[in-house]
Amino acid sequence: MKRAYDPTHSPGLGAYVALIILFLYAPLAVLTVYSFNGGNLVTVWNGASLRWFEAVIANGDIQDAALNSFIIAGSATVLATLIAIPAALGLERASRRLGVALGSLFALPLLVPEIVTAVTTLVFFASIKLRLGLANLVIAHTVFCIPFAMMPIRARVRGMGETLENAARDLYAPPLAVFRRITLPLLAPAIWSGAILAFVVSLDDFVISALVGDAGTTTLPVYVYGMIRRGITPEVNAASTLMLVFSLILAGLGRSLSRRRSRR
Amino acid sequence: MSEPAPRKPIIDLEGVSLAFGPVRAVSDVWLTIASGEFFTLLGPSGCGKTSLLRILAGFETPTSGRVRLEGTDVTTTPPHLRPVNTVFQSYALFPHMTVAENAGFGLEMLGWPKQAIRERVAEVLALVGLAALGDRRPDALSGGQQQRVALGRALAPKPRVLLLDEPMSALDLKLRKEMQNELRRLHREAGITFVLVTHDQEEALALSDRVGVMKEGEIQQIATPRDIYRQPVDSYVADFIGEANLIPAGELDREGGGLVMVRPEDVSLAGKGVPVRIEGRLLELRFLGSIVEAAVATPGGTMIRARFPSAAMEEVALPPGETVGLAWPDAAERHLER
Ligand SMILES: Nc1ncnc2c1ncn2[C@@H]1O[C@H](COP(=O)(O)OP(=O)(O)O)[C@@H](O)[C@H]1O
Ligand SMILES: [Mg+2]
Repeated sequence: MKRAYDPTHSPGLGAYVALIILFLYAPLAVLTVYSFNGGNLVTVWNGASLRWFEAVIANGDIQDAALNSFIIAGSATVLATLIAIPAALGLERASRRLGVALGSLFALPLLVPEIVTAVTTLVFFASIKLRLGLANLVIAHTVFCIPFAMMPIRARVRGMGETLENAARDLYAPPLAVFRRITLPLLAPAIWSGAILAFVVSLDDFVISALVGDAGTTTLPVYVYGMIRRGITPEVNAASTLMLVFSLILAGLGRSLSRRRSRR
Repeated sequence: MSEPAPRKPIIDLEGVSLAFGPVRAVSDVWLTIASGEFFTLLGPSGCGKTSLLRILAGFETPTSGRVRLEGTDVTTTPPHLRPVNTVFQSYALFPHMTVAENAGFGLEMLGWPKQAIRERVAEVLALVGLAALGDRRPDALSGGQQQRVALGRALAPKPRVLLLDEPMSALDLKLRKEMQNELRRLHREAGITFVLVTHDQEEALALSDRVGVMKEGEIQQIATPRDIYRQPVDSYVADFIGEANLIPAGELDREGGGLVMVRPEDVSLAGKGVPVRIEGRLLELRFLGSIVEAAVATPGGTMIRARFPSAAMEEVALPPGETVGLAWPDAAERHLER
C-alpha cells in the first residue's frame, strides 16, 4: 500500500515554518520588549522600566480614546449580535436560494474595501445630516461587525439541525419556549465566540473610525496613529502592548468557548 | 395475539398525501388506528414511513387529506398542541439538560407543579430502568440508555399516542431484542396507543397488533401480523414479509394468470401417496440441523424453496440434479393478482 503523503516529514519544513513565524511575530516581540524601555528613544535600549506604561495610563487623552473604543466596540457588538442571531437562523432555514443570496449580502462588508465603505458611510451620514457623534461610529461599526458575529452562529445552526427543536415542540413547548430553552442555550457558545470576534474587529478598526469619526470620537487606534505622527516615543509601544495583551485575552476566551462547543 | 377487540378509533387518516416538490412521500393514505393499539408502519427505506409519522406529530402539514385525533381535526394543529409524543430515530435528547430535566421537559411545558414533575419523572425513570441516572448528562450514557431516556421523556406527559421512529435501528442485535420486550411491556403497562415505524419485518410481526405495509408512499396492506404473513395482498407484501415462493399460475395449470404464493415451510418433497403439485430439478439440498432447505428449479424457470424438518429426510435422500416432486397443502397457497 502506498503511504499517504505526510507533510511533517518534508525536509527543511521545520526551518521554513520557523522563518514564517519569525517574520510574523518578530515585530510584535520587538514592540513588546521596547515598551519596557526606560529611555526616551524607541530604538535605544536604556534599561527596563514601567515608566511608559505609567505614562499611558496617566494620559487623559488615551483614557478618553480607550473609553470611546470600548463604548463603540461594546455597543456595536451587542447590536451586531442581536441582529446576527435571527439573521443566522433565518438564512440557514430559509429556502436554499434565498439563503445563499441574502447570505452574500450580509457578507458584503467583508468583501468591499474598507476605504470604500468608510467613504460611502461618511458621505451617506453627511447627506442625511446624521451627526450623533459616537453613535455615528457605533452604527458604522455595527454594520461591519455583523458578518463576524454571524459566522460562528450560522455554522452552529447548520450543524445543529432542527431535530432538537422539533423534540421540544413535540413536548408541548410553544415557539418562544423552544427558542429560550433549546435554541438559545445550544447557540450560546457560538454567540459568545461571534461576539468576541466582533468586539476585537471593532476595537481594531482604524480606517472607518478615522474617516467617519470627528474630534470627539477618537478611538484608541486613531489616537495611536496620531501619536506616531507627532513622533514615535516608547509610549506608543506601551499603548500597543496593552492593546495586544487585551486582544490576546479575548482571542483566548473565544477559543476556549469554541472548543467547549465542539465537544458537544 | 388474535384479532384486536373493536375499540374506538384514536387516529384517522383520510386520504392523506404529502409531496416534496415532485416527490410524493405519502400518497393517499387512509388509515384508522384504534385506541390502545400497537400499530406498525413497515416498509423499506425511503417509502415514506417517517413522513407519515411527522404528519401525525404535526411537523408536516399534509398537501391534501385530513388527520383526526380522537375525532378532532388536527390537520393544521402545531405539534405542541397535540397530545402526541415522539421517540426520534436519533433520540434527540437535549444535551444541555440532565436525564431528569429531559424527562421532565414535557411536564414543565404543560405547566405541572414542580413537586408533581419530580414524582412523575422518578416514576418514569424507574419504568425505563434508569432510576439511578437522573443527574447524568445524555452524553455520559450508552446508546441503549439514551434510547430509554428518549422513551421515558416521551411517556412522561402520558400522551394519547406514542410515535416511535425506528427506535431500535441504532442498537446492536442483543440490545434490540431486549428493547423489543421492553416496548411490549411498556405498551401493556402504559395502556396508550403506539405507532411504530420500522423496516425490520421480524420486529413488526413480533410487536404489533396490526401492521401497515408501505411502498412508495402508499399503504399496500393493513392487517394483523398473521394475516399479513398468511394472506398477503400482492407479491410485494408477500416478498417483503418473510420468504415467499411466487409461482406463475400457468406453471401449475391454473386458469386466469397471476401468481401462486407458497411459504417455503409449507413446501415438502412429495413422498409416497402425496399428490405432486409441480416437478422440478433439485439444485441444492442443505442440511441445517433440525431443518433441511431444498432449492428446486421448475421447467418454467421458477426457483422454489422448500424448508422441512430433517426427520422427514430419511426416506428421500436425493442427489442434486434429480427430478423431484413438490407438494403442499391447499390451505398453504394463496392466489395473487400481481
Ligand atoms: N424534507 C424533505 N424534502 C424533500 N424530500 C423529502 C423530505 N423528507 C423526505 N423526503 C423524501 O420523501 C421520501 C420518503 O422519505 P421518508 O419518509 O424519510 O422515508 P422512510 O422513513 O420510509 O425512509 C423519500 O424519497 C425522501 O427522499
Ligand atoms: Mg425514516
